[in-house]
Amino acid sequence: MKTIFSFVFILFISSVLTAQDNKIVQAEISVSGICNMCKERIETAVKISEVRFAKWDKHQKSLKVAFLSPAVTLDSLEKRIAAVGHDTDNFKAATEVYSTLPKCCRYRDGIKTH
Amino acid sequence: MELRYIILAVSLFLNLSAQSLVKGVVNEVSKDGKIPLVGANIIWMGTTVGTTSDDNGNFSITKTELSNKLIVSFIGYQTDTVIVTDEKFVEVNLILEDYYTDEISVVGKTASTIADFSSIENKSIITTKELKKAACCTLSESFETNASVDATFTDAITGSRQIEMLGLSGIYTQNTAESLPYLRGLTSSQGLNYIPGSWIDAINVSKGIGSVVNGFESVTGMIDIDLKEPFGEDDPLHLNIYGDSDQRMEGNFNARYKINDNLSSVSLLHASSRQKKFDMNNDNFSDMPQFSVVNYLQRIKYQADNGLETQIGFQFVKDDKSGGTFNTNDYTFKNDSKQIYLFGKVGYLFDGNNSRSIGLQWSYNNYQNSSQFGNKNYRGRENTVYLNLIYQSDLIGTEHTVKTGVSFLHDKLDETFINTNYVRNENIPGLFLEYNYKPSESFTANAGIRTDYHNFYGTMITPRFHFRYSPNIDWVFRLTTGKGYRTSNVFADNYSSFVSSRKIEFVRNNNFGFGLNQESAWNYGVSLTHYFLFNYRESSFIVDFYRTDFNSIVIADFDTDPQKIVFNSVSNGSYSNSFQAELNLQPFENFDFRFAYRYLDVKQNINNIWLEKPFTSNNRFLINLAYQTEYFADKPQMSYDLTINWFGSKRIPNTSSNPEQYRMNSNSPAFALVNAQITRTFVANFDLYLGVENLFDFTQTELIIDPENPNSQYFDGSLIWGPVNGRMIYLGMRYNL
Repeated sequence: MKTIFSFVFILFISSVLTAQDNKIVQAEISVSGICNMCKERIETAVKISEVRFAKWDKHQKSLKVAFLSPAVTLDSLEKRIAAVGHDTDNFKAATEVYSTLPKCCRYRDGIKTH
Repeated sequence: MELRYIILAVSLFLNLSAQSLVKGVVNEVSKDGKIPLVGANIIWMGTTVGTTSDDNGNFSITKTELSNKLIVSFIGYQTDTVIVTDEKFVEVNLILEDYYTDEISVVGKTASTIADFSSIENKSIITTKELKKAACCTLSESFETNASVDATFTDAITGSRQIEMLGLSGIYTQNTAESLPYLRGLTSSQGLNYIPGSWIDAINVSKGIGSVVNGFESVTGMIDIDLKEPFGEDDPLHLNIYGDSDQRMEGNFNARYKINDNLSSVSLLHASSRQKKFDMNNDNFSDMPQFSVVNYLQRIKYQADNGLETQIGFQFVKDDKSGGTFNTNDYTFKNDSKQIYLFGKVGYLFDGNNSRSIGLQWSYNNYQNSSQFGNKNYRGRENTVYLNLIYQSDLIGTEHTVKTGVSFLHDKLDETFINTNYVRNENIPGLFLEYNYKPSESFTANAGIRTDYHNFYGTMITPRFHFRYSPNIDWVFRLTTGKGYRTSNVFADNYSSFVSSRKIEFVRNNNFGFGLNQESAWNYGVSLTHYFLFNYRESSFIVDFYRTDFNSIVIADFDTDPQKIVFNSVSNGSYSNSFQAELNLQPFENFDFRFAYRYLDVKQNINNIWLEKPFTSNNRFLINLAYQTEYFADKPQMSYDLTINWFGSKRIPNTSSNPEQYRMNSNSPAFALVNAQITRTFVANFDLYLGVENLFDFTQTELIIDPENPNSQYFDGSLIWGPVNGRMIYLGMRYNL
């Protein structure tokens, strides 16, 4: 699976470089979080019609997505997630947003996945 | 996940240069047209030969001799299988999965038992998930993990079982199948085995007095069984096979058909048997009866577009049991029963909505039992007709609802016990009115009254009151009170006691049936349910207290003389206090923990002495632990389940006037029973389960008094306080299509 995803990722990068027709691509984004409330928040953050699928796994800390390109980019998805309080590899959530998270979702405070 | 084999548009192209290659494209089809899917997986079924689609959704794959089926998948889309024969180019169009809906079924796990939040009654709903925790097989075994309902231990000879609620015999609980009377009258002695577990969709257990709409009978609670519905999306076919170390074999088969949008039907079939005899405890008697059961139920539902709904069904059960002494013919037990049950419902919704409706429920039951207990014979026949017409309407807005209607119950019983014939005809027309006030989600009050006229006992007035208050979603407070009535069926209610040399006597007060008075009781109850988060997961805590006061009761007196059972109507002759606390937690992911404690104080007035009701534990604990591995659509799932039931000491009826070797202790020891089960769920809804009941092999040591001489005056096999059968290992499978 990993090879497929890196393959897809390369495909995706190349598609950004050569302005392209519409297509559906899949990707995996690492997103911090610890519980099912986090899951709901993360998945809802990217719930737009161009995103065909989004599922976050709290143990793997990874969000699998399938989305319409080039209308949506990976960056735009990561920004959306950071805006609701969850860190991704490229975008960190602002402290003010993080502090509004319920206690059970404070992944920076050393709480274990539950 | 469901695999769909749809062959979509397949295009034909001529490609002479690369004959061993199949080329194609993978698209999404939606209202916006076709959009290529990048990185879709394409693999020949059953092989490792695969590829992924490129930047434009195109792929090419080498043909193989091993398979002609291409499996095409993409995250979030329904996987498709395409059969490739001579095609050189295939176009695969995948359909989006409704993944938000899918999510609910995966993440939002169904709890196995739900403490109902919105119901006005203190109700718990046992779902199929809970039913899968128990070994098998029938309704009586379904309550193993439930703290409110007890199943009594079977006696050594007949194998019959009864359920108990609030420490009182199941006869004071109203048992219904989809609100129609079921397991009442003579059927109650054998009928618990007449509903196999795999026929059950859910069991609703309500503690305390029931609604007047369902009749005057319920005193301690109501158990309503939802059978498998003719309609529904899941599992059109279900197969269950079971076998255990006691050589009980069982098969269940459910099939559901949809004839058209309005008409659907379901067939439920069950057969079970044990042909082998055992005498593990060397008491000269077979430990369990040999039996064979055939059970068939068919129901049809018609739903018209104009709001009319009709349902009709029938059930046929044939149940043959035999047992007794192991090698000789000194004592023979035989029971041949037959039941024919017809039932139906007609309902009409006015204006196509729920604000006003009228419904008729009806059932007809014919039950025949012919039994032999050594040299005693019993034959019973019962015909029951039940009609209930209910009109429901909102009064002013939806805050006030009224249910009113008429009912009619006809019961004809004809029983013969050793040459004496007892005949009883009951005709009971009734009227009822129930008013429900629900100004908001947090408050509900319900008051009902019914009046019935019994052809012998005369008028019965049945008032009932329910109240529910929930200041917020975390707390629910409930209060119930009301009256109930019942005509006692002494033979069916005390079926196991025939397995003794005890003589049966009646203290006759009148000339109706057995000459006993009608039973009546008041029941009062309070309960408090608290929902809270523990370690961020939903948990609940329930405490309740119920009191039942019998104005009139028929007491089976086993104590005064160990050679007799005396049935006597006693006014203010019994009460029961029941306190229960139950905690449900999920301490960590996928792990369920239930702990329940119950205190019972049930007394009977026998010759002006208040004695504890025999075979009732004052204290009882239940612990249930369940762990399930994480669900993955493509991986087997494991479930582990452990149930510990601890019973405090029970009183055994007095046998002190017998010669010393024919006495039993006055109290049973306290004991614990442990059951465990492992289930492996394979893909495509195939379950294999392995379990053990009574893990530590605990049994009642002295089952029968004087088993060597079943015709002696001291012979008694009815004093059962604990398990008769030791450790039992079972293996079963379930298959849903």
